Amino acid sequence: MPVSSPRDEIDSWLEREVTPLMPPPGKLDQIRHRARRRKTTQAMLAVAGCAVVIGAAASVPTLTAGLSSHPTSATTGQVSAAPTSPPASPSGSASVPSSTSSSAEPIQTTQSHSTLSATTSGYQPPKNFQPTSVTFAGTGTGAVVGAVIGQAGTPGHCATRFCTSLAGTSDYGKSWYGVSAPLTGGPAANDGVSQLRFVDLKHGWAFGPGLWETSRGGWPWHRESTGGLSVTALEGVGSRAFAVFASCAASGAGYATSCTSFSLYTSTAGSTTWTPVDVPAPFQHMTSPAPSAATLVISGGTTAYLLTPSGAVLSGPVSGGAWTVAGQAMCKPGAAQAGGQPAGAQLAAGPSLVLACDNAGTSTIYTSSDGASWKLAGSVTATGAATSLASSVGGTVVLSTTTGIYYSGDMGATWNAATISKPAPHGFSYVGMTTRTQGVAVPSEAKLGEVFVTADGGKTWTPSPIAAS
Amino acid sequence: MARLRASDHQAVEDFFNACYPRLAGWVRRLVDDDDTAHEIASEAFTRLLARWSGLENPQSYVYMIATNLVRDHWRKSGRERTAVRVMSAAGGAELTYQPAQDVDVRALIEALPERLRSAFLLHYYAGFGVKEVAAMLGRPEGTIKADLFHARARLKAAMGDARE
Repeated sequence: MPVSSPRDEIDSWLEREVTPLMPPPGKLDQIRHRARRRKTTQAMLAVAGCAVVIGAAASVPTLTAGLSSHPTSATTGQVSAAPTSPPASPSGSASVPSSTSSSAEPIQTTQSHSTLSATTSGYQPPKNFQPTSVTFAGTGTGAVVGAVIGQAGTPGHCATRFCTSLAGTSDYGKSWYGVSAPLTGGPAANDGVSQLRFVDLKHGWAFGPGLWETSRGGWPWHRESTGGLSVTALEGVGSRAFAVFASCAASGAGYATSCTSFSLYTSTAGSTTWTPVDVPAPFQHMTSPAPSAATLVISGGTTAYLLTPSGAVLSGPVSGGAWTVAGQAMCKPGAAQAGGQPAGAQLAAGPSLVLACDNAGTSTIYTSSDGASWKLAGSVTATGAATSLASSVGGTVVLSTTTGIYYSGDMGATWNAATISKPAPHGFSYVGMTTRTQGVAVPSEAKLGEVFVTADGGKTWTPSPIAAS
Repeated sequence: MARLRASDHQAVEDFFNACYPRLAGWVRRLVDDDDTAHEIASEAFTRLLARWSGLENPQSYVYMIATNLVRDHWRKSGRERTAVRVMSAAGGAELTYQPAQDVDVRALIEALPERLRSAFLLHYYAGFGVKEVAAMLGRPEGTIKADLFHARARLKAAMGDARE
């Protein structure tokens, strides 16, 4: 047996290729943040040093705090997208987490801005607002505030070179006001945003496929690094958010339809750092031979669930900590729709988990208290394919399809077709229930310029135009 | 306080995407775990950003910073290892240590005099040419060549001693 010489061993060690170590998501933003903080400290020390010489000739810059609203034009809140970016498939979140406190980050004052408010920002949303996602969050006083994201205005003539826009509502869609949006476009390549989640009036994320974060209700927004991955799902409650980072072959508006690798990450409100969730080893990098999806839901404000591409259901505490395999769902997700929600299997969380397994127009409904064991609740024969499922206290379950909306008042046992007061071609891409009676749905056709709301547990749905007519 | 211009912002991102994985991987071969490697690479990039606009060769700069941080880490972990040994000896425990090949060679590099070690790491490991290393360390090229020769000779001798 040959014995290697010391020289050979050193050479072979030196000649070994360095294996690249990929940065975790958000690393560049974290570095930038640290660098900025240090430069600020250095600048303040330098200013302090100069002050000895120049006396009181300089004043300390004022930092603006709070949910202020300082727009200077009627189109404030609109911050444009790449003019050629098509709207992404709409979706949203109607869960109502509790309110949390504000952060102390200095606000940027280089651009007029308006933020999410429990009343109104006082400014109109931009015209031609095409919503792709909706979110509702608690104000901490029992009321809820909603927000939509989408493309608006006329490409090439938006307030900035981007047309991505936000609008908020404090009266559940009766009226909308302008809110500042991230300075990015709609989905293009692995960048841009189409989806929106807020956990309270201040902390929110715009994502799909890129990722942006705000800690001040809509201004400023900070871009977060995704390490080249696409963010296909994000849910949050309290001060915690979870997100699915996926590797997807497609880009642009259909970014979510071709994803084959998924990882679960978490962050806290106000943080720019995303860290991998402690999940069992086989689920650290979930892969699928065919395009698939992963769905995140949060139940009762305490437990998060992930329906994985294999159909396994993972669960973990929203307070942080390790996740475990809760069980196996009765069906597994197919390729995602454009907005990231899977086709074939829809998961929702209300008082318990609800699962809709879609097969040739018939959705079989199962319920589970913990994701471990599933109980057949009923089935609904719908026209069109199921696109989204929602559940709330009191047994209300709502299913959206590519043609309409169906509702159940008894946890999925019996179903009826809802009355839609205005035609919605191609149906709805997302439906969510905020309370037992209140809910919101996003039409598949963003060009309609409206979302639909219900106040009677999903029986009837009426349009809520975003932009003022 | 001056902020990075938009073009600089994009340049930083491009540089980060191009260089961070290899720098972190390079550091990973010199330290004990991924977390420490990320920590050192992040700190190097943080210091780089603080001086971004005044640098002609950011790659050299970030590697130099990382090299110094690795050296600091080695010093610190050396102290920790010493402390562990003392504590173990006091408790009558016997340390069992079976180094992987990486760690084995690394320990020898770690033991090189600092003058030789920096040149060795930057040339053989980070892939910089003799001329670049000379510029980075502020020494003549001939001195760098001699340092590299002596570093290899010491490693060879140390490796031989370790096998006897």
